[in-house]
Amino acid sequence: MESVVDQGWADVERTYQDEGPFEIMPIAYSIEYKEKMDILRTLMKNNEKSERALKLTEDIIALSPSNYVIWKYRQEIIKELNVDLKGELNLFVEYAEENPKCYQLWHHRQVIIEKLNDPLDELQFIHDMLQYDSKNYHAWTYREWIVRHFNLWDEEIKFSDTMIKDDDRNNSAWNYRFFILTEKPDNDIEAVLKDEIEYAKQKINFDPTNQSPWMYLKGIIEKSKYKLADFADELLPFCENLQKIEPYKYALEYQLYTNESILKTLNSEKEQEQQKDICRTICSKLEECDKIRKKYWKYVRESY
Amino acid sequence: MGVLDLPFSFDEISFNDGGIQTESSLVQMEVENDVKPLFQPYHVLEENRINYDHINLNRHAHIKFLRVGLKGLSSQAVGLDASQAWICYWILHALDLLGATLSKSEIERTINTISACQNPTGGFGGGPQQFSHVAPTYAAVNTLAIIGTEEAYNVVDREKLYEWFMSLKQPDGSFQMNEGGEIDVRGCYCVIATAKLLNILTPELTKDVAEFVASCQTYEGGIGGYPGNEAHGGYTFCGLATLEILNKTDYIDSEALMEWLTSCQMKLEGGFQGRINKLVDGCYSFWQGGSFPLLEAIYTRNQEQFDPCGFFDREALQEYILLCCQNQYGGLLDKPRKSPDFYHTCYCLSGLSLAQHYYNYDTIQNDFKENPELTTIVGKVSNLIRATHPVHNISMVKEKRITSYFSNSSIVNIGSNESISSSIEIITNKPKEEQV
Ligand SMILES: [Zn+2]
Repeated sequence: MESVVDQGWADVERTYQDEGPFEIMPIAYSIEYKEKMDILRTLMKNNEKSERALKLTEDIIALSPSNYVIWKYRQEIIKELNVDLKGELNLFVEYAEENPKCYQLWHHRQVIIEKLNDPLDELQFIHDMLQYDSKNYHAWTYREWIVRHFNLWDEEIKFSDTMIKDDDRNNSAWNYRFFILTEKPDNDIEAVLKDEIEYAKQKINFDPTNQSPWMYLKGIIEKSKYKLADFADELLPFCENLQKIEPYKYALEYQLYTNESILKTLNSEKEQEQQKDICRTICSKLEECDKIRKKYWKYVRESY
Repeated sequence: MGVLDLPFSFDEISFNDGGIQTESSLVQMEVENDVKPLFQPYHVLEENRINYDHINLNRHAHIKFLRVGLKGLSSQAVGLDASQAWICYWILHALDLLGATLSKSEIERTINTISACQNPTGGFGGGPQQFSHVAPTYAAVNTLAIIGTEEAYNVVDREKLYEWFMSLKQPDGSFQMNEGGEIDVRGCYCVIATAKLLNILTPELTKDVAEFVASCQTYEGGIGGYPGNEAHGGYTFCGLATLEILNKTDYIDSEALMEWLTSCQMKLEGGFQGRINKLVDGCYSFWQGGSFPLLEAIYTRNQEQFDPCGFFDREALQEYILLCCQNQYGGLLDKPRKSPDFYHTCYCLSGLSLAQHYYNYDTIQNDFKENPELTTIVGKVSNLIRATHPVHNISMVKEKRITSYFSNSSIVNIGSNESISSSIEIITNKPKEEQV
């Protein structure tokens, strides 16, 4: 069989994949992949950390980007050789566009940046990646890591706003906003609470069927020292106003949680019973307009 | 229940963008437009509608699709070179659910290949001579459990595997996926579920795991991969199943989780989205659907009264899987227009199984019990597939067999640390409520 790899490997013995005497589900490897892997196994066995080994890992990654073995070996080589780490990041860009959901790629990038100990233009890079897929879980996770690791919190509320403006139904951007406000060291939720309530209300007014700002509104209030009941005077009429034309299930849901929160503040049994009636009525409406969750709303109604 | 039965036109329950188009709303409407024509012939308002009883699980085509995979994968599959243990699990579990019997040769070859993936450290790699990683380790042990023979069980070196798991443990209770690898809730589930099947759960292995998982629950109610990450169906199942094994489901807010989880079932499609404002995907039939029996078990333990058939619309989920996720030539898929693959075949069928079978939590034996009286089958009666275990996602029978096999064998001689091995001996052979 003619070799597909160049003569530089003549000195290296091949270590064949040992799949045992008989194999389930054999993969019909291309000759190129098989031969390169046979060489790589030998290099790994000999613990060779060389330029040519580095190059070989790159060749194989191009053929099978999610192979964690190759990435790990590559990281070990990088540790010992004096590799241009920024060049390493460019390698990532090539594969990231085709494999944006590959765990190994993102983890590799994190390892390199950690080693460089410099966030470089990573925030811009992530933003670019989010242009392809604005909800890429790996990209958002990596952004949270960068921000935490290098303490880059300051511009990030603005960034969440940019992303929400692009698509106010992008729940990842809402989650990120919550992350920034609540995880930032020395954060003061109470200080921003009024603004954030206003922000969520604005987005809800824009589109009351969008679940993300509704969840955010509830989440941010509950994260503060206040309860939903503390904002009942403002937010219950807000929900009712929205529904003058048609019922919105998330508005009803929000009314329910606020009324439930009020229920917890009441002491007299009579008041509690009246409040439970309010809750039950809302549940009945939800059973009607949120059909797929009928069993859930029935349970909630009967739990009062 | 179910969507086909709703006396409304599909347009009435379609997504309404309120006149505001965004990327999210456009793709959502595309999917709905693909789904509607598949549902329409069966819709209750349709004249000359086709009876639901004709809805068919294309069992033979799926078995054939999976069997062809076992024979060998094309060179296109090279990207899955490090996922061989996973593919074994996906195919074997799907075949098991479909009631296919493995041939002697298929069993031998699987044991052989899985053994070849095992490293001297006790962990398993994604393929032969690949270093260990907790995800393929979980897949490999589940595969051996599905084979279910003593020979298969004995492939595992439990002492070594235990030590390797311990070497991945982080100070915050979580686990790295491999040496130097990433950390997230998947790692917790893969380690804890595997250790549970093999009866190697110890207090030091489980230390602070529940705390880590709980710290990943978000303001939405679901669980993310890492503290601060967005709530996500896959991580939610992994986190919740981990807590169930550890008997620590009280570490999270189960009401908030239920609220989020039920809101992920799509009102028209009937399947689940993995995150809020994302699209339906067949694999979340399991990841999201799988959290229901676990949450229902919590509610049962808390003596809450709820619908005897649980909290989600089981008919609607089956309708989505059967009408939108089957490829006519075999295999199941994410959503219409997508190609079938082994991963989606496995998790669509696992979701179908959970939607058909109902599990009661037995508070005396502390285990999940199938309740045959509450079985719900959409379409032909012959669509019924085997019941999957809601924590391990191998069939109920296979879970029982492996846990009883290892229940009497404590592992001794773990490391040189006397107290560790004795702590393992203490917890083996004891009913669940006395552990840890
Ligand atoms: Zn999927």
